[in-house]
Amino acid sequence: MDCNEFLNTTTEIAYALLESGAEIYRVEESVLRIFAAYGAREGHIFAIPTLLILSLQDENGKNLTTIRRLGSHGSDLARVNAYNDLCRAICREKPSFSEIRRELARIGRLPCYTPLQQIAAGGVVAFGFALLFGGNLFDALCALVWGIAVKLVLFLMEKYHANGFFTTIVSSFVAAGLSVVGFRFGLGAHLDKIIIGVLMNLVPGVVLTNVMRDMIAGDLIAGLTKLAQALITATGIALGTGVAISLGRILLGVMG
Amino acid sequence: MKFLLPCIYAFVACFAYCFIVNIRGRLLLFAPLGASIGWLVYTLCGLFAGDLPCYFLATVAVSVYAEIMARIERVPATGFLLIGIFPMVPGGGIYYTMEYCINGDTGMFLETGLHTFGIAGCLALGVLTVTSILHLYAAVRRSRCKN
Repeated sequence: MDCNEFLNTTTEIAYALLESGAEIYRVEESVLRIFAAYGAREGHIFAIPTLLILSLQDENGKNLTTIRRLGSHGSDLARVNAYNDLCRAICREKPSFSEIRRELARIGRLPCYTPLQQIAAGGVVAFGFALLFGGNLFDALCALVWGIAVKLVLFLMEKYHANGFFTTIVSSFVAAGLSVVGFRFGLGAHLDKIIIGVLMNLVPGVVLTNVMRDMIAGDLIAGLTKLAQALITATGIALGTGVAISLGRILLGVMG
Repeated sequence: MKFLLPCIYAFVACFAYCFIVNIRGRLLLFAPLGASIGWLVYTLCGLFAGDLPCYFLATVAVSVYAEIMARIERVPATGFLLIGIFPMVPGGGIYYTMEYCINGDTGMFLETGLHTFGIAGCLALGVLTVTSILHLYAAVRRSRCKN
């Protein structure tokens, strides 16, 4: 067995899992199982949301180690499921490395929802939550339109790789700003319900769930990193909305 | 109807959110269903208790649902959990905390802020309870099988 090739392939799998937003323990356990299935000696892995370290020994006792850095990444559950299945299949059937790479490439090509679908979904998210939190149908329809606008802003900011904190501030400013201006001109009956509905597109729900999963599994460093991210996002939302609402009060005299 | 309508709203909102985290196929129906169940437990529980225990019990319900569905569908429980908990993420808490801050009402600002943290804590506790009990159960069963 070519240990170097083995290490590279395993790193690819770990990277793919982590990048799709899998929990840390899933990444680490999958890799350890693959190491065990192929009988690797001294196979170890350390993963945090932004870094991967894999290490093993070849037949002569020589140590091989790789490090991979990751930028920020979202969640793609269809891919997490597919990679998870792949890892199980690898442990069961022990395919050749070229076969694993082919599978990885195939999963990488799996479809995502188009930006248009996601923007429309953002509107419906705002619509549903405005209703859920006690707004009427008129509020929800306003939230639908502002939700689509906020999603558009998010996409544009992501396209130009704007910093995450800044993106959150700007998008929540747009969310609250549009709602306030609309409310001033008679669009909507409950300002707070509209804004909260639209803001649900920005709240760190995914991150918060991942924090719990990581912390429970004992991955405290990963959990703390993501907790910091969740708190920063929440602060960004409060800042952006706060500025928009204060401006609305001063310039337009809107009291929600 | 009073209890059913919010569940439908939660379903619609979470169905749409599935498109953002790329959930596909049959899970597109099963994942938002968890959110409806969670919200139903939350509203029913609200008849008897304050809202923090409600958040806790609803999260427990969502976690149990997520673990069962994960076993049936043979996928990680994460997706079900993530979508199921989503309506309970304190977006309103963040908003009202900020509003009291702008109004200069420090007392209410602190109270709402702490309450928001309390909600997040209840969600964490709910997930923790179910997952830990399941892990313990699996470990006990494995050691029994070995003997």
